[in-house]
Amino acid sequence: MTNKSDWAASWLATKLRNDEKKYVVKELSSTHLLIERPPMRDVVICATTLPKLGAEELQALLEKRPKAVFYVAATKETVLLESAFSLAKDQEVAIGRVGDLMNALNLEKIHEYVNRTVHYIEQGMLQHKRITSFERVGELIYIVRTKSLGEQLVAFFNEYELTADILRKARADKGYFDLAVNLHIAGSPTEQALEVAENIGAEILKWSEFFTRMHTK
Amino acid sequence: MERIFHPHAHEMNIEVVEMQILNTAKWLSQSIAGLSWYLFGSSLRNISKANDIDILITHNQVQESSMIRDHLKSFVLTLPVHLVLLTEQEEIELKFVQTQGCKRIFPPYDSH
Repeated sequence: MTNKSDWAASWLATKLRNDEKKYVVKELSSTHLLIERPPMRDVVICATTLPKLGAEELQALLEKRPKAVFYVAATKETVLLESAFSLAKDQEVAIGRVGDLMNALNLEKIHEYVNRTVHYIEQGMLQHKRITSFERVGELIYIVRTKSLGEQLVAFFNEYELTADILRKARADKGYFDLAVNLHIAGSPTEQALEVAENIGAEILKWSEFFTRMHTK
Repeated sequence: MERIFHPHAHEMNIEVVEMQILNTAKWLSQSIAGLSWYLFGSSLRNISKANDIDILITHNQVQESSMIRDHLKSFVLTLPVHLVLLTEQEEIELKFVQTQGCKRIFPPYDSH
């Protein structure tokens, strides 16, 4: 870690103290915080500002002491890789963003936290009879299998304004995907996002349109 | 880059953050012309309670967004930034600046 990340734990500590739950927070180091949340057990969390968090980066953080139960990306610009989610599951820790941490603090077993959007997507797909299986391959990106369509790489978004940059960034961070599915009920792509989608070979669908597509014989 | 916290209070200071953004915007404008920088969202109301600092950058061409992000790789790790990039055309389509109550940081108003 460089000094660039020194702000993260301190900033999170302030945020937690200012939260309506008025957490008592002790700064253990420039990256680690101890959070008291009675009547539940105290927890240690680790804040990171790495550009990407994959298994390698998470492993390095896991080796630091004290061991944290939640590894939080303090900036939305951090790319969270599937390898980090897999390792986190194996190690019984959780990773996520600041909003995830705030929600996870309500749980006794923080490592069992599942992001709400992930839960929504996976429950939706589990209940769809045409989807034979799915596999998460990154943050909000899945291989979805149906008998009729075979494998589709599907990137999910939850954006009121699905812009050209969001699609371009997703393509750069997540690689190729066939479908860009926007979960936001009132969300719509800009005209230039539609052009970008065509250029990167992806089709933009709404959540309901995605299920209609999965019904295709 | 300047530190963004008061060393004792650990409170983020909006004036210092704005100055840091302004300096970065000036620096980037030497490489990419025609960018406008704005602050919006909860950080304008109470920066210490905000989940992140929402920054909008408007630019001319769709293809410029990856170049902008590339230049800002370090900057976005020095603040809890949420970066929104819109082309001028998208900004007009969405009326983002008006509907989100964005505060322009760069170019400063007195430069026009």
